[in-house]
Amino acid sequence: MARVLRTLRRTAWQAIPTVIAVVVIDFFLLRLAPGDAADALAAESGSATEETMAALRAHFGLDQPAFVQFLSYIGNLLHFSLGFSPLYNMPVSRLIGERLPGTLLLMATALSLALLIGITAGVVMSMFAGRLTDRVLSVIALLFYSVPGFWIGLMLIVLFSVRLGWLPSGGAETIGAGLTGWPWLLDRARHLILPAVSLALFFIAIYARLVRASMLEVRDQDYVRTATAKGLSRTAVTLRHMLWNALLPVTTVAGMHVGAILGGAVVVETVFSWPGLGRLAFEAVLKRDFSVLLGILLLSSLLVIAVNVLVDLLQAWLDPRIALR
Amino acid sequence: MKSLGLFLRNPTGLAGSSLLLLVIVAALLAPVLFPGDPLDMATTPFIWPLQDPAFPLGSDSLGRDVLAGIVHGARVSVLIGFASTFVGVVIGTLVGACAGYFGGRLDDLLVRLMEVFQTFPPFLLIIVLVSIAEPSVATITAAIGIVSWPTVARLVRAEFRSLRERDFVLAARGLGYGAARIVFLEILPNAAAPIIVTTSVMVATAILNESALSFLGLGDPNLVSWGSMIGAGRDQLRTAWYLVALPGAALVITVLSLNLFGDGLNDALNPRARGR
Amino acid sequence: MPLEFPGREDPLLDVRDLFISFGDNAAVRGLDFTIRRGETLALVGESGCGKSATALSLLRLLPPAGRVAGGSIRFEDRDILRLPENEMRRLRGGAISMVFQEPMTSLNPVLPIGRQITEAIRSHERVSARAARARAIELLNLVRIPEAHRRIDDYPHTLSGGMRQRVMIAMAVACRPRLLIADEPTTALDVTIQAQVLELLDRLRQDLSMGLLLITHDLGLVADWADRVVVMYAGRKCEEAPVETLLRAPLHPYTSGLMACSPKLASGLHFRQGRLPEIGGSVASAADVAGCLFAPRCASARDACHAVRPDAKPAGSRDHLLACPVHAPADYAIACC
Repeated sequence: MARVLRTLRRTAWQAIPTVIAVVVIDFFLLRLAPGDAADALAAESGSATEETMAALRAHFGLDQPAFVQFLSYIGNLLHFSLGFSPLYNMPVSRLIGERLPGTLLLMATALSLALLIGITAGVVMSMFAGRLTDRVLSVIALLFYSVPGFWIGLMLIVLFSVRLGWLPSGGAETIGAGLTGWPWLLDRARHLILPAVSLALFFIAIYARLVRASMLEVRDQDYVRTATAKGLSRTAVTLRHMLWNALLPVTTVAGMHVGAILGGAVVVETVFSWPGLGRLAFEAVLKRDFSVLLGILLLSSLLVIAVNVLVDLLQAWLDPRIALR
Repeated sequence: MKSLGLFLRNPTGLAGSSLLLLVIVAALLAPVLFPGDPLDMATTPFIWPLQDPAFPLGSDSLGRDVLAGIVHGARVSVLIGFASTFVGVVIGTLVGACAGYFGGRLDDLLVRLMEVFQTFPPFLLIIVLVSIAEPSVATITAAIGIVSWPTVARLVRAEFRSLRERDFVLAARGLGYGAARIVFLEILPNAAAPIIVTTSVMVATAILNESALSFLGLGDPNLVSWGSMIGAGRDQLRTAWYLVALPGAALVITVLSLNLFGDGLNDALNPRARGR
Repeated sequence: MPLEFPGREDPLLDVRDLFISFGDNAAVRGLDFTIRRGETLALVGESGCGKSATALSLLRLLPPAGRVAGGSIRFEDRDILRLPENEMRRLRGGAISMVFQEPMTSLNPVLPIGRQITEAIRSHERVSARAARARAIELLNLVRIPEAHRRIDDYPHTLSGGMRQRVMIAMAVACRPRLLIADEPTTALDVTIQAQVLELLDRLRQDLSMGLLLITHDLGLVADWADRVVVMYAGRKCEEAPVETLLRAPLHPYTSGLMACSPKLASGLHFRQGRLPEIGGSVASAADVAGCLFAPRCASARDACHAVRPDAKPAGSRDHLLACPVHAPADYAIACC
């Protein structure tokens, strides 16, 4: 436990410069964006005079020099404020806070699916390496690896919603059904299946291929021979001795892909009208509300950094040698 | 040359390269096969595939030829896929080579930079960059390139770090060659194999990213692309799902061919993975 | 009439005419040997002579590329090569167990050592986790790991090479095997630790009355710890004898060569001035040889040696076998026919 805590302290410390750099880049992207909140608001209302524009700019501090604006941006961040969205007429942080749980739920479900199916498939492929089972699964994995999530999402809608009518084609729950308890949970789960599967396919393929390669690498290690020489069953050798070691590289890659899953969620959410950050980002692009867009970018980067710290902890727990580095 | 032979005898690589060749030929011949703007109305709307011999893949809600759209769409995919990968590989190789060859403080700094770029969710960053700069082939290419360079940089850095202490590099240094000559003429050719394998995967990823962008309506508005065709067809998903299925199939085949190609290359160039 | 070989009366392990190949390459070509209960047999030869392949074949642990191409392996009353996989599994780590050469890589890095011992126990006997743990501590005490009750939860990387090899040995003897195979158990260890580990193995052999197959390239170790020695070259037996006989009067030129290589034995050996304490050439030269496999490297090889491959036959006494007509004593030819 002390080892895991030491790892936490070290990785958290190392993340600080990255966080600062991300904030700086985010701010300058915001400055580069054409127009500002005042322009956006003026465009929305359709009528704005020079005076009201200037007043609006003064109100949002947009008439200050860049450096002052940067300082106030940092000051706001320290108060967990990401600015104000005139279009939604609410603070960006609250807007994001409302949509974040939906995206996290979708991502977590997709990631769990991807890890569960991907690792299982990878283990099976490695056990039958070079034989028919392995070849068939490899082809399927390569196909999953090549299919864009938004397209497979649409195809799943055609099949399961339009043709078969088994699953809803969008949204996070049946609006106005007033469900509670188990029926509510079931309704949520039914809405979650298609988007989660669309998002997971690509990552199933990645983990399956990675676990297969990793298992084959581990298979030739001396300790696997020792385990067999002890008289353990093939299952025990595969799961207890090989898989545990083979999972170490998988955790690294899974951490690296959190950003990719988030990016995938943006597209999949728009396909399934899923109320999350991705769809908010898309709406922000259409309405040219860059404060919201960059708030999402910043928050997503922080999320990725946080997940990477978690992955380091997970690795310290999985691999007792890590603290020695 | 031995690798080429191995590659050509590999069914995976061969299947991938044939399919890929087909896509590239379609992209090149599009103006010849289907002259005129594929965005113009060509016939009556909503002809299903295999109904009208003149329009074998049917027509969309505006009476545009789906087959012409798909063949012309290959141009955007191939162009942006290869161009943005080129951008990413050039930046990534330069950064990775500097970090790996010189080491020290420069290395620390560049590794930090890679880390920072890799914390941005790639697709989200592409959206932000493209929407700030207004969508066009050039901005999309640049955005995808900017997002993809850290992958190459990490790989090149690792290769350079392991190669820079090898005898042939030390010998070149002993002969008084300059850093640029050693980096580009001595080390880089030896690090080429993994870079080439990664390149094919990067082209595939770039094509997927471009299609997702145009699906969201952030593609170049003046060009037809598979993503924008899927995006347009989405409104008729219930009645004319072929408008989504067909361009998507073209997309899957192209990306699959690149991945097969990459797997084949990997088997041929990476002796460690051989026989596995 | 079949020849009566030493130790053939009710042996623990009886290997006859064993052939092992890796693809097209023969690693072992017609090897015979036996081990009696409670006895230590040393299998000696340079690396690449097929010792390790032989050891692995006894537990059917050859890597996928290798296979037993012929011969038989009998353990007690069982035919190892024909045993169904599940019975073979019960034998591994049960009645026969093995200690490997590389203690640094032979333990799973992500499991505590205690866990690796208890899982060996629990895969053979129905005991509670608590009882298995108690026995693991006992075993760690037995192999002289200090503060066993505390070290049992340590991970392998916190232990030295010698300690890891002790853990490997504890694991191997956890279910009181009747045959212990030790494949170069001390090669990866410091010289100072080597004697301790071998002493431990020898004590365990006596206490548990195990047969011990000690595989080594170092004839020096053999002098102190083995009862009988089989000298192997290129997958065949050159010479076999009780250890005193072999060291006092080695007959095969390869045996003499090996003895000259061992600093410990070389001092007592009278070899001619100017002869290097090293055998020229390598085992690889035996690849396409029709006659004696050692002939390409043998200083006293004659024409006949390159034409006819000699078998091991009694030379001098019934328990001294030799596969070399050139260096044989006078009665060799008579005994062979």
